[in-house]
Amino acid sequence: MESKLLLILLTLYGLSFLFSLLKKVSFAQVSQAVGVLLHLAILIFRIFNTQHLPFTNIYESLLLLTFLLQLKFLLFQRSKSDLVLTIQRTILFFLVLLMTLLGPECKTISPVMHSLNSFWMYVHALSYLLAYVTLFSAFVLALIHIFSKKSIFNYNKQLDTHVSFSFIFFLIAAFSAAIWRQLSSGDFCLFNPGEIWVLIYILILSLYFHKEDRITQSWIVLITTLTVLFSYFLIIAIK
Amino acid sequence: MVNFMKRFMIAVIIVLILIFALASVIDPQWMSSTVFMILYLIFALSLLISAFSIPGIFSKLMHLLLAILIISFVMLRVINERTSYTFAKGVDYQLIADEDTLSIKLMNCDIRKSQDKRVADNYISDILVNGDEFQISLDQSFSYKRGRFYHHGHDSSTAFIFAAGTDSLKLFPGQSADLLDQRIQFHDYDDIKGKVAVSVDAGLHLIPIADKSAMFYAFPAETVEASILEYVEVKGHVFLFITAFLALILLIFVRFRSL
Repeated sequence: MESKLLLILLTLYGLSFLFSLLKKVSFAQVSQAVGVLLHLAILIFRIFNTQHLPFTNIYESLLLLTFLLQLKFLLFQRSKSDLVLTIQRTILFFLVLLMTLLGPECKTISPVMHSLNSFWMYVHALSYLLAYVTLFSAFVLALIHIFSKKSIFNYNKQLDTHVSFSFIFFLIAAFSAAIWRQLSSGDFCLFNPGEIWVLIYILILSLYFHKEDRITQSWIVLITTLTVLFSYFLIIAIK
Repeated sequence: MVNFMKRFMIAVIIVLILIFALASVIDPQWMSSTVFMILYLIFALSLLISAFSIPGIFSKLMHLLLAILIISFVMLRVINERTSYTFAKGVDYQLIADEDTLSIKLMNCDIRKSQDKRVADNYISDILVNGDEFQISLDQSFSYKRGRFYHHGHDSSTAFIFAAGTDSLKLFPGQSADLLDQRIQFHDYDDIKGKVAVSVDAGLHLIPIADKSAMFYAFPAETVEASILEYVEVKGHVFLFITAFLALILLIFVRFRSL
């Protein structure tokens, strides 16, 4: 049932991406809006089945991340440029495609480990996802800043806002993980590869605030996003 | 000076990024090593110097707080020593916690498995501390003054009899006692090498089982159920978390004030 719904969702986002490329704006918007509603339904279905919030495996994290990204793109966006919307729909489509292609072992329902079932762990996971959402939003703008010949932004501080939010959410994620560790094992920092990479994201993003040149700042956002994607697969490989 | 500090800070950050990435792949334990502690202090020092050279009172304060945060982090890693103790079921142990001697006895230990029975979901131990019963699990520690006991793992441990001349004593991993006027601590048994790791006073020795050529020799006694608890004295954590919280609030303020 869930895999069939997922295929329909992929088709809807694919259509939205195609219509966007063909400049059929209203068709793209309608398929995107229907896609969001279906996405919400799949999310609720998953929560109902697993009896916990969806972030215990890569499939659930991607399901929630793409939904939050879609909400961010639809509801919290100042720029209405067609180019920005097309890039956003492209990213969404490929993330949902990746989610659909995941093997059944990645989609198996697993219970939350007893030690992870804590308020601070939920804060950690949610801040992590919100940091990704804002980072991916910044990534779209950074791409345009780097590769577009002329600036298309009326509101040029949008990149700063996204990066600031992303930086702060990564810090909250690291801070809440430290509190959780302190409460559960008496050591606020045990340094596993995942925690080390959060520190690396924070350090790379901190360079953004020490540079004034927009192109350099955009490259920093691009490198951070690529680091996030690289480390995600690296951590899975290490495990 | 401002430009030089900025360049220096960026160079330090890039070096940290590269070294952290390397540590995550090769050995994450590097992050807790002395060399890394020195690196953190260098980073804190550069933050401290830049706090005086950058404009804006809030930015100065934020850099200062971040430097204090890193310095206190290093201090806490150094002073809060962590020790593992193995408690065999039904045996009385005397342990020093925050300068008091506690009598601890493991009454019962249990492993709760996940629904698919493949993964240990929780470890639960019932202990008697000075006659009072407590339960310790992965999400429930036991506190005594500034000391905290956390559940680490749960195991079946083999006891070993250590002998020297006519004297002998029975120890479980993690226990220590005097033998021939020397303090011996039994760390672990390596069943691949077939050797027992003990430290005698300051030196660490790997003793082959029942090899009587050594001063001490060991042979297996019995297997019992045991719980591994980790003991740590909590000092300065509240300060660290308050500093981190203040730095976070200040950072949010500084970032969004400029937008």
